[in-house]
Amino acid sequence: MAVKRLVLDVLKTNELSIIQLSRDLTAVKGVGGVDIVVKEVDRKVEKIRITLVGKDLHFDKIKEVVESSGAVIHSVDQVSAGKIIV
Amino acid sequence: MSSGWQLFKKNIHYLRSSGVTALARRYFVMNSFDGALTTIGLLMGAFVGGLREPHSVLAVSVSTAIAIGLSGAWGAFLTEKAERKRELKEWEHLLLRKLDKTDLASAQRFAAYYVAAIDGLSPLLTSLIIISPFALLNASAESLYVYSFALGAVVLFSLGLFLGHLSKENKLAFGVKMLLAGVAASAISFLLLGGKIG
Repeated sequence: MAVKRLVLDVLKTNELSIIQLSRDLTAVKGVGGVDIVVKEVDRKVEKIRITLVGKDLHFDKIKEVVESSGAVIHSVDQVSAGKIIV
Repeated sequence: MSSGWQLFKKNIHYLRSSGVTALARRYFVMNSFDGALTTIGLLMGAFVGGLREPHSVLAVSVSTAIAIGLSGAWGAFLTEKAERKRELKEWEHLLLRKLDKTDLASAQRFAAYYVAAIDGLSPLLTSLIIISPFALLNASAESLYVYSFALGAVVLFSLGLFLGHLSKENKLAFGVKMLLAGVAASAISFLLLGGKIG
């Protein structure tokens, strides 16, 4: 059954633009929309929450995009799968 | 990692978002100023020293321009690369992961090349502009010197105008300040070297 919503807890460098990251994530097949919220700001790093919604989210591809940008996924905080989003 | 063109667009975005373009602007003005003043000083020394063969003046000036350009480019590249490597290691320590094969590492390398190019090309270009009369014009040696000094003044004034535009302050005032530096450099050389035409 397709994953339709993912909420990720991500740590990134302060120089990695969330605008660029959101563009990269929306380019992944199956991703319909991306929402990124900055939760914590440190001197060199920032903690962000990424919410992805789509018809069929592939976690491996999303993880690859996040990691190749220079960020790291700390945890998957929420998953919604099935025919409808709960 | 992203494909070639996508990576290039990301690198350009990184230059803007990380402040590298602002840094490069500062280096552009500083190094153009260095190149211009060095060339003006060299020409003044050649003039007072009695060097009147355009070919000899050109040879000395071009050689100096290349040296300044290489010095700027190489020094900036090594410095920027070292700084960015240090920063990358700091991030790796905080993120607990390697970053060497990421778009971020690629953008940092691109930034080092970009800054080095600005640092190398800006003094080289200003030097070549100032000595261009010796390469392009067919006139007496004295006239060529005058044209070169005039071009030097134009280059310095233009740099001042650019600074004034950047800081949104009085452009004319900045232009005059930069021009005064050139006049001072020429006057000091002229006086120290005896103050007479050889």
